[in-house]
Amino acid sequence: MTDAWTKPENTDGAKSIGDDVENDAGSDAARKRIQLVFKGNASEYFRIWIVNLALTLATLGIYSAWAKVRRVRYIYGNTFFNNSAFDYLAEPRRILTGRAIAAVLIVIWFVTFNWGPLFLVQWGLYLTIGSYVLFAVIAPFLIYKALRFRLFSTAHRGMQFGFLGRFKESFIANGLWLVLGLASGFLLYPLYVKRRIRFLTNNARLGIYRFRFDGGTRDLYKIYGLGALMILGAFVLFIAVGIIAWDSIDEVLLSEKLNLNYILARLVVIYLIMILFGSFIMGFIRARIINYTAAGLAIANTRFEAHLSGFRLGWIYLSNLLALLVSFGLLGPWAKMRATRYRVENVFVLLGDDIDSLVDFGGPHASALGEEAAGLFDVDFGL
Amino acid sequence: MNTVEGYWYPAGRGQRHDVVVSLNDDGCLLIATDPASERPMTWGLVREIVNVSEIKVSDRLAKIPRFLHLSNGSKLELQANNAIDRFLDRAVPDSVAHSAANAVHRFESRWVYAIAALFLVIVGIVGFLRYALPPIAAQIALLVPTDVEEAIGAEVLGHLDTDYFDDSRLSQSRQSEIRSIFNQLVENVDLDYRYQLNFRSGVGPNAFALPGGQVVVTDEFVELAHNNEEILAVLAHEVGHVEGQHVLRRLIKDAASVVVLVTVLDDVTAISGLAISAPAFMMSMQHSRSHETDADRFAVNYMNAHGRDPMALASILTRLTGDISEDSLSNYFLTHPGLERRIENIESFSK
Repeated sequence: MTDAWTKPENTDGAKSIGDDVENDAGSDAARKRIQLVFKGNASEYFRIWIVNLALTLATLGIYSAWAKVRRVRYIYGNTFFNNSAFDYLAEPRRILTGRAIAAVLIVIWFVTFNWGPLFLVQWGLYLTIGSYVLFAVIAPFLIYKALRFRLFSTAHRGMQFGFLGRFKESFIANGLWLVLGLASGFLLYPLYVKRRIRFLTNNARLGIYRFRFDGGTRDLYKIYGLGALMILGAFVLFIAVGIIAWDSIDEVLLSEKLNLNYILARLVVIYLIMILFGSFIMGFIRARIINYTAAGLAIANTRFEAHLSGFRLGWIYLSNLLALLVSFGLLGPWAKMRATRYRVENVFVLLGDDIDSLVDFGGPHASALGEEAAGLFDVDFGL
Repeated sequence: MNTVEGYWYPAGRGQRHDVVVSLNDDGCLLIATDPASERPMTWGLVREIVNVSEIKVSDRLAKIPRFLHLSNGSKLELQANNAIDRFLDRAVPDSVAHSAANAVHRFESRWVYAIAALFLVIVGIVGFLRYALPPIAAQIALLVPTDVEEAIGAEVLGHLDTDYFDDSRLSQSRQSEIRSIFNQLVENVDLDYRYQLNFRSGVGPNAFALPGGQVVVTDEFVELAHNNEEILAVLAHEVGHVEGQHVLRRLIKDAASVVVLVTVLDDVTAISGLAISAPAFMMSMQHSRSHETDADRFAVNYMNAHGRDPMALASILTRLTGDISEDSLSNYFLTHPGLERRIENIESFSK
């Protein structure tokens, strides 16, 4: 199927660096502005998805790790920065191990905390509290492990990405600060988001270069303030429309009788309205957070820019979800390609100096780092 | 011999060199600087000569470039997929990994195979949900202790009470009359659960059972019934659901279905979880046809065994269903599907 949303495909390969590069006026005058290019298409991705899914089912799930590697490689290999593609190096066997561990953990978790309170009624409260405490420790650990795995598995040109973050930092940023953000009635939530972004960006590296992040707190408060206003507006609108229209909806759905079926129909209507508002609010927040992160990010003399529109991203979420529902999931690959293309192609690299010198560093030093990374126990929990 | 153009990246560096690579039949790979390149070259034209045993070639996948990882840490990025495969076929003819990866690629690149895969996936999923899952769910349900079932039933009833139900407005005498019918029913059969009858109102004519022995009837249902025989038949039907652990089996089946669907849609989009919960939620309102048939059989057997009229079940069912089927939307949520078929079954069980 063709994707009406996408730009015509870049079929080149012979395209020179100059085609992607424009000179950026203003404060970044010295930097070359390079757009990331995405060449994936829905029909290829659909075939990859369905063939690997069939193999996964035929092998009772064991092949799923290999399937995942092929899907991610398709996306990485179709993402080009300055005509060089990204490379995904993950070992399927490791992903399989990670998935097996995750499956066991989920079963233990489910039995302990969902069924436990039913068996041991008098311990129910402690079990519930315990599950929250444990979650505040496990979630930061999984985030930390997944980031490590994802970055160490990513390569571009002769270099590997890397991650220097530690579990302790993740626990403070993604555990304690999350709890603080929620416990403060969301007043400190933007501060938590800032810690979360910094944990990723300040610890990521490419070769010997470390990424830096210098985004401000005020911008985050602005994003979440607007998000909160949108939620409030949606709520007011929802209630206003409800008061006006509910009676007529009642008549249509119900024809005089009140029963369980009618209540269900009403729930479905509420659910659909929530999806409508939720998509756009989520799109707005995600788009702004990506733009904010890119704007604050730097490596060596290079900076980044992202120009995602909240409305466009929200529309992509909403229409993708509807496409998934009406196609019983078959349009999933199309939806994935569409969302990926929109996100990738709205990211720009403001390249300082020469492209070669950005990432050039002493050879032997780097390969030692690479080996160290390969020797570590990293698992992918598919987060 | 084959010559292809591509990029060469020295180990651990960001530099990129345009190169010409010749893929020789003897398994040697020759990397040479591109004469057309404008980059100043300080070392000779031929940069590297490597044997195929020293390189790791990424598997072929759609049209994405192939990465050749050399043992010295440097890397080649080449677009010429066919040439690389011909080279590997000749250099390492019996590599299992290479031929397996290429087989997967062949499946992925043709629509015929994709459609076949789609067919397999649909058959696999439907087959699993339809034929494999019900007996598995039944076995798992048997393992669940009775206390747990009772706790689930009490919990669900609590939620329904807070959100939907009103107290019954039936007179005390009418309630105790029905209660005694129910108690007699429960005493007459050797049952696995401690049963409890609850009267509620506010959700239209309905009667249903929750795990662990909670049976609920609504005022509207009691009013719809023409005689106590009909009420007894429906109560027996609900006891049949409890004894067969139908709600519990359904919960287990739904949970497993969600796991299967999540696996299938895995990674497709971040919000697919939201999409899955909606249909699962709607589906869960329906007992499967076979569960209804089981419960009907239970009720008819009871009525027959105790000299009551089994066709009372058919008459109350007709009235219950007729009452809500005018409305097409609520038909979708109908908890008792296939009325005509059920009446036929009831007639045949009665004989």
